Amino acid sequence: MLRKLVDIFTSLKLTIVCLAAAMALIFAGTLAQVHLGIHEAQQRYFQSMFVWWPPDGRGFQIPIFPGGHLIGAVLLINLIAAHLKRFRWSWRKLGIHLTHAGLIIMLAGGLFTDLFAVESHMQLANGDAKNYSEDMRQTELAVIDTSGDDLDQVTAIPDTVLRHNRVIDHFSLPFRIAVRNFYQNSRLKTLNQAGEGARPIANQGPGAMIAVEPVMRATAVDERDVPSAAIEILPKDGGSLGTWLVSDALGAPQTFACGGRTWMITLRPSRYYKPYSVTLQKFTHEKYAGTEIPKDFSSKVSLIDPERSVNRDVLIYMNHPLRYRGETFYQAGFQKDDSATILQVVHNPSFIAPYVACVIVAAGLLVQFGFHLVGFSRQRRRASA
Amino acid sequence: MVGIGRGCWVMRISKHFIIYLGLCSALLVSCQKNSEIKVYRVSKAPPEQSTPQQQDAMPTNTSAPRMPGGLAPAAESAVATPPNWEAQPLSQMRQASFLVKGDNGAVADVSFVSLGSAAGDVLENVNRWLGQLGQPPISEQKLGEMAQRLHTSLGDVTIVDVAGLPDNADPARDGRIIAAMVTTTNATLFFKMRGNADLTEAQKGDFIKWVAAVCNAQTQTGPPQVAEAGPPQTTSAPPIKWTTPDGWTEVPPSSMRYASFSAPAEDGGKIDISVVTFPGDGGSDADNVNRWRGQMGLAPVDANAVTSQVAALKTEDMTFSTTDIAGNKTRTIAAWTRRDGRVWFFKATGPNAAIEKERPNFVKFIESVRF
Amino acid sequence: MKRFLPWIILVVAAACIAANWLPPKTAKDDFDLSRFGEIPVLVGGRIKPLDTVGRNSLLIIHGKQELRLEGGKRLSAMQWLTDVLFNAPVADQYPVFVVQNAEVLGLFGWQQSDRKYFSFAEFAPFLKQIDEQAAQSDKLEGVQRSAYQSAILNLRNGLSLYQRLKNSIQPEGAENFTAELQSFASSVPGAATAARQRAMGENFDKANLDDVAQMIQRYERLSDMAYVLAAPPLEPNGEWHSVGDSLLRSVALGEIHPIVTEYAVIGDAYRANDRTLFNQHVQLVTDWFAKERPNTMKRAWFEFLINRLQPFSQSMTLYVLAFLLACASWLRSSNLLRRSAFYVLLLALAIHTFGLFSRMYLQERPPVTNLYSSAIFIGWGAVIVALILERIFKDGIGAACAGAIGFVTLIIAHHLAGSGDTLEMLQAVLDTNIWLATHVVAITTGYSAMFLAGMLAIIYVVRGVFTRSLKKQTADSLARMTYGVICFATLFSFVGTVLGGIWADQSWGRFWGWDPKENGAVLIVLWCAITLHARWGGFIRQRGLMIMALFGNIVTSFSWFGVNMLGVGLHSYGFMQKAFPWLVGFMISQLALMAVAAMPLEKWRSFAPARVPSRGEQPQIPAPLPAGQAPT
Repeated sequence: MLRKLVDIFTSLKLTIVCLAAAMALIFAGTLAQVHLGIHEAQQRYFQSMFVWWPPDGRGFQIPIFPGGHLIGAVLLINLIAAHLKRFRWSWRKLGIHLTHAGLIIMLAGGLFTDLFAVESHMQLANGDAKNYSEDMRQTELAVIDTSGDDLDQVTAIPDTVLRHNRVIDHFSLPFRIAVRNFYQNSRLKTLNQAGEGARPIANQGPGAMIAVEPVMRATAVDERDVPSAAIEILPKDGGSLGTWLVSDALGAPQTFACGGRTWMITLRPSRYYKPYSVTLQKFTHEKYAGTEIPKDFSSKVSLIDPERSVNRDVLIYMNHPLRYRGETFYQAGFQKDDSATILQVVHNPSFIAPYVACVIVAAGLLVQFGFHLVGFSRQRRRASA
Repeated sequence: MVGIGRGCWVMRISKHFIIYLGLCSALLVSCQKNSEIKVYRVSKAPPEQSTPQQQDAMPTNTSAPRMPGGLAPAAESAVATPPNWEAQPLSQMRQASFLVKGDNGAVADVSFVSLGSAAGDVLENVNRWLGQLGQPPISEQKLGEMAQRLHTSLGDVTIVDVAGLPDNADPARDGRIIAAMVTTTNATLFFKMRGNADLTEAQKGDFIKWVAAVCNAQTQTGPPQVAEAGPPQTTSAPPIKWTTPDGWTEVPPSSMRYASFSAPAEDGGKIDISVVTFPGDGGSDADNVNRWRGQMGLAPVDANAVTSQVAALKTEDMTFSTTDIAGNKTRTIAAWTRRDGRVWFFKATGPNAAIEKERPNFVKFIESVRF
Repeated sequence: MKRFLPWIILVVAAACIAANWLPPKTAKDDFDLSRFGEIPVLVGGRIKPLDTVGRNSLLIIHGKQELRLEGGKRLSAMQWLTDVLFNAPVADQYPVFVVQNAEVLGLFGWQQSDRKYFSFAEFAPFLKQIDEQAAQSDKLEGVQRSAYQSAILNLRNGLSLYQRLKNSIQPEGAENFTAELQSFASSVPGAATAARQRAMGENFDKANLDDVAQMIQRYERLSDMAYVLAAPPLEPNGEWHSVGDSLLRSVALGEIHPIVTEYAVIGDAYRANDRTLFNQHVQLVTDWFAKERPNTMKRAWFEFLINRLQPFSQSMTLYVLAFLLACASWLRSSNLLRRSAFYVLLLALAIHTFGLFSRMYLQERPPVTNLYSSAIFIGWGAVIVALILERIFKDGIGAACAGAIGFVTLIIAHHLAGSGDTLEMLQAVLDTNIWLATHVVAITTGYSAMFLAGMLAIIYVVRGVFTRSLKKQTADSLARMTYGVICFATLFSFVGTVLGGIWADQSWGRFWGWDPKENGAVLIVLWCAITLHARWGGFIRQRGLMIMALFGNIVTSFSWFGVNMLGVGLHSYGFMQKAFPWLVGFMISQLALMAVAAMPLEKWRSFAPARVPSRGEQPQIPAPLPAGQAPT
């Protein structure tokens, strides 16, 4: 039985089946992007073990096709297993060994990137300084203890936790947070605008005069979900401080007192704080004369790191990112009136894998096909001799 | 077959390794990253206005925008014109041209020209028109009294009505000019009706309606705020009174403002206080707040954020909406109210500290307003 | 004598080409529009000769580079442009705008007839309506628009371009522009004085101010509408300006730009039919450029030359000729015809290469920068590899492939040129020569190789199923060629795809974003991998290899064109909708060929066993002759 399993895992047929399945998956996923948007299609087809039906997650779901992670995993196992079983050192096979070794590195690198890479944005208006970047897809409920003299203590609760938990009880907070409502994407309206029958979901703060309307999740590539939630603050020694509306669209944080300390709450894009700060000196948007075609985008920033005594100016522009302390800053976007720049901040420890893999595979292919070519021309020479 | 025995052993280990690897990968892959609660400390940040990121954000890797479209204003005006206005062929100057014919050969010529922003301010142009009618120029003060303001979605349109007959002019075709002018960020629009005095007077209502319609058609934002063409402002008793706080000096109003004050600030700066009024309701709170934010060089905020920044102020006989906008160096406090079909804006702008000091005076000023 | 056939054919072909390259004779007493077309201007961020502006504008508006009027008269692009620039009332009557959509015609109250070209004058009363309708249409994404909406948007854009051209060099309808400029020049100092006096409260001449104010308004409108920036910089590192802008600046500078004055004289001379004056001043302008901006003038002149030579059209014709010669060489087993095809191909490739390198020189970029140039390069790469195959195997197959692929890719390129300047400036993220030279070239070479392998498979299947000419030796050569080309394609496609990922990593931090174009590229690599693995595993042999190469055609065309039509991601282009039926047709044709090839081998005409003659056809044994008679 085990022998049969091993045979399957090391067979060439499995390789071909996996490659063909990968082709079908990529083709279907590409077509799906038209109505799902790139991000959603990526999650559903390429970053999952299976493609499920029905897709929206109500009730019973069955897997109808292997997803990207499953196919990748099987291919990886197949590749390694086949090599281990049939590894024979010979010059003639050098090309194939190199190629496959490179592919293994690439697949493994891709897996690590999927798991460990973090991408975020930093939006800076001229003169702004920030020491954090914000996630584009995830929000967090920031509960901030502002009673310290010079430092605030932030308890950051990701929206995934809010979505799946009724009550949140954390050691750093003197109260529990009961999530009464959570909407992944919403619109806020004043009670007048919302019309008859609209009721606020909160009873404290500005939320008491705002109606929340849930809407469909955003699919276009430049739209983001605007989550909202109604949370009730329950001090651990009894009572309730009321239900508050927190939303990405509210803007300013709300304040209340509990246990002799002042707290602020706000629902904001997840932040990644850094031990250094970036200040935008100037953002430039050059166009070709007489047109609207962009010629170059560049941001002149000051990088200030007190820990390492760094204080220097850097120019970040297209195809020339800033790499600092394991993170890379790219010129990614800007506000329509050129008033602010948007930098993409990427933390990807396995970024070197594709470079290495490319070189190895290219070398392997060259060697392999080189051998074929040499053999072929020798044969022709012999034939014509 | 080389080393079968060894091969078997290698195979067994590799086999276990493979299964182990497979399970690990499956586990790793299915766990979600970033779903734990984090606690950390950061230094206190200044109160920020977090602007929603997605508004107006453009990525740098899109394909180039298409050629800017939009046809140049063509031979017809962009809106319906009164039926008795005959369209005329355009000269190179005009973008719309009409001729109105009345009795006894009376004619009035109507034109619309859109020029660049360097087209002179209101007073210069009014004096130019006065000159065309053989009249002497007037002062800014006089202009403020005689000019009428029309609120459109393009901005405030200044309308003047001047009469006069230059020597050698034909009274059937000359004697009165009714002109309207509005300045936007990159253009100045001029509307002029010139002709026989009586005919022009009779057409005034239509003319003002047409001006309003053209202005509103120039933009696509927001519902047009067309005002009824009311009677021109007469110099009767003003409908509003207040008590001027100490330290505020009255400054002659410009053609836009109803009243204007100045208060001193430290270091020789000054605070500028203005009273402005329009017919209609003056736009939504969000429009106005964002307009003032724009004047201070701040980014706009979305409508939901604005609601949290507007507070109510009750005085003896009415309620004002107020707001307080702090920028980097300057600050604006404003109050507004609507009454009798008009909206009144009271605004003070100046350095942060100075506004802070004058704030109680401003509140007293508002509380003293009576209609 | 027959031995020289290949050389004769080559010489004849070369002579035809050379004849095309001679400049057309300009009659002494005619407007020297050729020289006028050489004058450089700045449009779309790139300095180009007026000739290019004329050709591209006419192509965008009219769909062709030439205008045919009623009565059979033909106008060249340059003649049309000169009328538009200087003689708007006449140009307004030319039927250049294309409208075929019945609903658009209905908007104006016109019925659909076989008339599809209309003049600006006919649209003038409806401009506001067209603008409104087009504004509605503009709000939608390209793929969401109906046929009517796309048509009205195209019409509006054409009309807008036309209006901007009319108002580029002088205000539309200006009569005596030289005199106007002179009075402007003379009144500017007076106006400046008057303004100063007024500011100081002194008496001043009002009329002066008024006149200049009016003119300034006029030139501001001119500046806003300009499409062509015609006033070159006067200092070495200065900027180009439009005529309107330059006139506004001359208020501060105190004098009018010399070239602007020249254009005014040229325009007036053109309207007054004064050919001598026109030619004289055009010459003055080109002389000025040759003296002050020699580099610019040289490049503009070279681009003008390429426009006239049209190298890609010429090599297209030669490719067709070569393909026919190669096929003929199979039918008649003639080595002479095969060699003729080979020589003609060499000539065609030389001209193709000349065109390709000229584009690189003019744009100062690696060869592939947009979809148009990718088509040119794919043809070029495939032809080179096919010619190498022809040199090795010498059986006409490589030649036929080269001819066919060269022709088809150049036709595709020709149709892709309709949206404007093919030498367009590159937007910011593409502004990097290294990646353009490596990633883009590698991927495009991969496409070339895939299409070549597919073409070889087509030849195999067509010759094998429908003719008897697929002998074993030919079949084996074809199989070896196809296999080699697929290996080549694998290498380049893989390297190109990974280089693209590395570029993305350098540019926005993400090696792989599952963008449709990236997915298309990886599909090609996967398909090559499957083909090679299947062959090594013995799952397919010759016929299977050919079927898979045919499917490779489908995968490659999806990756090259199909992903652009989805309307998603970074590489989507709206104007591709017209090509969609062709793409689908091509894919269906390949599927059909695959089905045909899947028939059992005995059904193939080339592989059919020798037929057993029926009774009626058995050779008769002649009756014995009577002794002594000779056979007849």
